[in-house]
Amino acid sequence: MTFGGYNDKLEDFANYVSNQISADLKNILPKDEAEFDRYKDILIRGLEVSIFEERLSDGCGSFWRFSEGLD
Amino acid sequence: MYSTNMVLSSFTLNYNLDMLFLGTKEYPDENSFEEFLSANGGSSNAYTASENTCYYFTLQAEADEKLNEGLKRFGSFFTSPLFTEGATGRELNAIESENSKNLQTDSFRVYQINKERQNKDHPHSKFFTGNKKTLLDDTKAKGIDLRQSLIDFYQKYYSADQMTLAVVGPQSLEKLKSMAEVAFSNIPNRNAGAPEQAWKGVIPPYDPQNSAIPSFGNIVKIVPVQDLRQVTISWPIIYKNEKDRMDALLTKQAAYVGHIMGHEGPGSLLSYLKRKGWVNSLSAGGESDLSDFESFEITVSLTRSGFENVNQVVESIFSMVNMLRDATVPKYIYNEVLQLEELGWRFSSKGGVSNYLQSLSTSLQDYPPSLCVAGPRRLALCEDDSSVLLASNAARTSFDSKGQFDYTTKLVSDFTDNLTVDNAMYTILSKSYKGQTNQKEFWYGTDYSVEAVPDSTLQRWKSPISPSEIGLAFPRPNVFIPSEDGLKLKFPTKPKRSSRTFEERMAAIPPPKVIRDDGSNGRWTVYYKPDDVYGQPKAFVIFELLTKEVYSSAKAASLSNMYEFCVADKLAEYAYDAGLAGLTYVSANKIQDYQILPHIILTLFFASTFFTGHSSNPAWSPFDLWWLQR
Repeated sequence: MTFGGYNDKLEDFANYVSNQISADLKNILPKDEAEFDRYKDILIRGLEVSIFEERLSDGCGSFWRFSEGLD
Repeated sequence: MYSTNMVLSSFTLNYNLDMLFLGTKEYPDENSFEEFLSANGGSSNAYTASENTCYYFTLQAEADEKLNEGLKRFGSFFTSPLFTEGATGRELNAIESENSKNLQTDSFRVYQINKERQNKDHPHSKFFTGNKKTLLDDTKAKGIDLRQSLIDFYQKYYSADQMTLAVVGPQSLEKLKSMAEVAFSNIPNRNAGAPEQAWKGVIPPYDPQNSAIPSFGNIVKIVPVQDLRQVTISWPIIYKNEKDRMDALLTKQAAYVGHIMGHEGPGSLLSYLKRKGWVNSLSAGGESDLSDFESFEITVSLTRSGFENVNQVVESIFSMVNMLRDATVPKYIYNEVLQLEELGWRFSSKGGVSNYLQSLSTSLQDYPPSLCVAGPRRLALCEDDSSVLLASNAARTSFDSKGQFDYTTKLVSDFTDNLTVDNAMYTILSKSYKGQTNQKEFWYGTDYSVEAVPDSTLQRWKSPISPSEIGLAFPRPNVFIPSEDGLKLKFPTKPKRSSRTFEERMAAIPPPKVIRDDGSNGRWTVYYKPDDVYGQPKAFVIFELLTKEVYSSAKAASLSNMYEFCVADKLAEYAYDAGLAGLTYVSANKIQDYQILPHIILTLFFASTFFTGHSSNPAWSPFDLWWLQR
């Protein structure tokens, strides 16, 4: 966990956030199935994007390997 | 760095950009410049935006002769480029490769579709990167000599009167000026004139009767490559004259509107849409890339439920727009936008020289030279002269006069008047449209369809639900904006790198001091490392909570990721104002059976009174040791 910013309000801010995370866990976790599904949807689609980007970079690599071969 | 102002061209511009760096009369070897730069810790690059091409290089410039040679070599690209035949094929392959990468990138695909909603005769409607077809096949078919057309393009547009130059180096201003004059004074002035004069204010950027894809009153439904689910509303805002454009660049009315529309605190549009379970995120902002119009855009990332209720999502956006238009925006919001922008300006962290160069040379194309630094970075308040913007230490926390305030609110009001149902372009992206579209975009092969918005829906959007009925409100006063009362700015004690000897620079950095040590079984060991370099009134606190559980299984890793979303989502409303005021937090991973290892970096007078965790015996990891040794 990292906090950063202008000094004079940082203490209050960090206090609030760290208390929410450490003491008010129930407020942080999904309150119902619909909210859980929403987070699950973000997570799954995020992972699909990561996999896609990895494949895309492999594809570019293949192109360059192919081009080098042509030269 | 050089920026040159050119007309948009679909086939020679990128090609010219790449070819220019490949050999000059004085330095004919194609790799000569890159070899020189890499031998001196530098690199070069270039890019083309809608109206400018920007070339730049960096190198270790402490030695005068190295910088001098670098500038001379760089200058020769603009006086005597060879455009050799030999490099042609390789560059075509490079451009085709880049285009191939773009074909699978949704931002390029959507950008091209948006271009095709413009007037076909406007240069911004064209395909903008070029590929083997435009450069080779089409030119061959038309009997065009590609190399000759490249030279013609260069000779027409690469003219000193359209170029701007920025040089950043440790040398004195006099010395830099003298070097620049030697390196660049031979660039011919062809009196080319600004290319945009041929179309700015002459060819309307939007003409519903003359666009490849209908622009207004329609929804374009696109099948994305990635699993995106979003709706975007985009409003073009046409400049009536040069004053309109300068107002947009200096007063930045889009920043005020974006602040309100994109706010994420209680009462915001996002807050309402999240409460309904319709969206995950929302962004709002303007883009002014062209001489004759800018765009304001709101993009909403939809949940499944939001996708099913997309018409209501759009309706709520217009409800917020109506509130902005019909209600009086509280004065404190204007003052806060000003204060936040001023904080960014006055206490900005030193960035990389490359980005700074790029921003300077391009802003010289748009702003008067005296405002090339402050113009893009500060809000202008209808000051009588530019000296206010140039006074770097003058903190502005509110408007100086009623006249200033009225002028700004009028500009914001005029800007908001453009955000109407009839002036909007609607775009929805969803994989669920796969197999249901009936058109294919030519350059990127994007599957899409266009549907007219039914009259009943348009009417609903024009008379949307009342803002108060759905809990929309203007942002509350931001309590996190830092006060400068009692600010003790400690100036750096360490001399600048350039004024230190090699031995001084290589001297070991003093380790952090232990300011609290509760003993081996105690709760905390707190280290303190004061800032002796930057002199900023900022502090950072870093905690690391070490546990093997997070990646103990795929399920645990997924749950940890999800926990991060939960934290970010639940704290978003509270943390948004803090984020605007420069306070940030990052939290990652779930704490279970843990060791806690506090890493604390404190600058100036920040006190560590909020630490509430419990520590078992900490063990230093290699990362910890590295961190502390920095």
